[in-house]
Amino acid sequence: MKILVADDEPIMLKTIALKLKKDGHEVIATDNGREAIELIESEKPELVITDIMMPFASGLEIAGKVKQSASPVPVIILSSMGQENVVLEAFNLGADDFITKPFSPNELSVRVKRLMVPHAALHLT
Amino acid sequence: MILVCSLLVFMSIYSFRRHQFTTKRNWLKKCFADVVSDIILCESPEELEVAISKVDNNVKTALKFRYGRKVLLKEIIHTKANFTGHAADNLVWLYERWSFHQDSLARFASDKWHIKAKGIQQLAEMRQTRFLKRIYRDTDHPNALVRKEAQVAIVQLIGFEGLRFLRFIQYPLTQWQQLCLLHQLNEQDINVKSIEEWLRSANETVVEFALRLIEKYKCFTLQNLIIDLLNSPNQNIVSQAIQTLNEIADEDTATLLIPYFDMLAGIHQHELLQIIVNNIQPEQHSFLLDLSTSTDPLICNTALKALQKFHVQFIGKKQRTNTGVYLLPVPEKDVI
Repeated sequence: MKILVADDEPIMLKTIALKLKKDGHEVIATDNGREAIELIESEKPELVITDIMMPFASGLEIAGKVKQSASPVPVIILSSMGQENVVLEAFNLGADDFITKPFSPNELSVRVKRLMVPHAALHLT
Repeated sequence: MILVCSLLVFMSIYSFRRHQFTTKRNWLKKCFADVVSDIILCESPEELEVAISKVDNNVKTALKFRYGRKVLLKEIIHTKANFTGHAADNLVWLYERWSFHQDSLARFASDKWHIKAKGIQQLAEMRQTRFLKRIYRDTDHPNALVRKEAQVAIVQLIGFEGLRFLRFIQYPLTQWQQLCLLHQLNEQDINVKSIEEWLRSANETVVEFALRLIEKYKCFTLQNLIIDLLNSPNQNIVSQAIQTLNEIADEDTATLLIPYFDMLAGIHQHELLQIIVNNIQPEQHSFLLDLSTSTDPLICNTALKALQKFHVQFIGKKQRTNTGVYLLPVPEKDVI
C-alpha cells in the first residue's frame, strides 16, 4: 500500500515512515503541508497520515483536499492531547481516524491495517 | 551615519550567526533522526545494541560537544512525549546509555532557577527515580518555579505516594500548581489517612488541595471533616469545601449542612443552599418553608422551587395514600 506521511518533526516523520516500511508499505514522507498536497495529486497515495500542526498547510487542509478530490482516500490525523475540537473538525472534513500523541508505533500499524481492509474491498468491487 | 553603519554591521553579524546556528541545529536534528527512529522501533535489548552500534560518525562527534548533546537531549525528551510503550522505554534507554542524565544533573545543580527547573523536568520526564531523594529536597524550595517542578516531578515519578511533601511544605501551593499536581495523578491507590492529615495542615493551601483531592477521588468518609471546614476564616477553603461537598453529597448531607446555613453569607450561603436543596429529605421541608419567606430573593426563589419539586416528589405521593396530609403552598410559577 502506498502511504503518504506528513509531519514537520523529523524524528516523528522518520519513525512513522520506518515503521510503515517495516510493515511492508511504500512510504512517501514530507515535512510540510504544501508539499503534502502536491504529493497527494502527483503520487496518488492510498492512505494519508498527517499531523495537524504543519507549516504552509495544516493537517485539516490536507484532509479537506483529500476528501474533495475525485478519488478520496482514507486519512488518519495525528493530534496532541487537548486538540479535541480540531479532531472533531477533521472528522467533519471527512477524516477516517485519529491518533492522539503519545501513541505506540504498533497502535499506528493496527489502525492502518484496520483502514486498509475496507478500502481494499472497495477497490476489488 | 557611523551609528547606522554600526547597527547594520551588528544586524548582519547577528543574522549570519543566527542562520549558522539554525542550519547547524537542523543538520544535527536530521543526523539524530535516523538514529533515534531506529532506536524507537527496536523490540528487544539485542535489537537496541545492534541499532546503537550502527550510529554514524557525525552523531558520535556531535555527542562530544555541548551544543550537539543539548540538541539531541532536547530531541529525545520532546520525542518521548509523543510515544508510549516500548518506544518511550527505548528513548529512556538511549538517554541513560549516552549518559544524558549527567547533563540533566548538571542543570539540576545550577544556581540559576530556570536551568535548575529544566534539569528537574528532564529527570522526571526520563523517569530517573534514582534521583528522587535529591529532587524531593527541592519540593519546598524558595523559588516558586523550582518548587513547582520538583513537586510535579515527584508525583510524576511515584504518583500519589509522592504527595507526602504536603506534610511539611511551608510555601503556598498556587491554584495553578494544585491543578498541575492533580493532572499528574491518575486513578491509583490513594491513602485516605494522608488526605485526612492534610486537611488539618497549618498551610491553608494544602487544606485547599486536600479538598480538591477528596473531590477527585470521591472520599465520602471525610464528609464530616469537610463540613467542619465551613467555619474556616479562609474564604478559598470555604469555597472549595462547598464545591467538594457538592461532589460527594449523599442522603445525609442536607441534614448535616442545615445548621451551617446561617453561619455563611453571600455566594457561599447560596451555594450551600443549592447542595441542601439537591439532597433534601422529607423531614427537612420545614427548613424550606422558613426560607420561602426570606427577604433575599435568590434564597426565597430557590426555596420555593425546591418546595415545588419536593411537593411533587414526596407530598404528592403521600397525598394519594393519605388524604389528611398537609398541603404546601406551592406557587404555580416561579416567584421571580
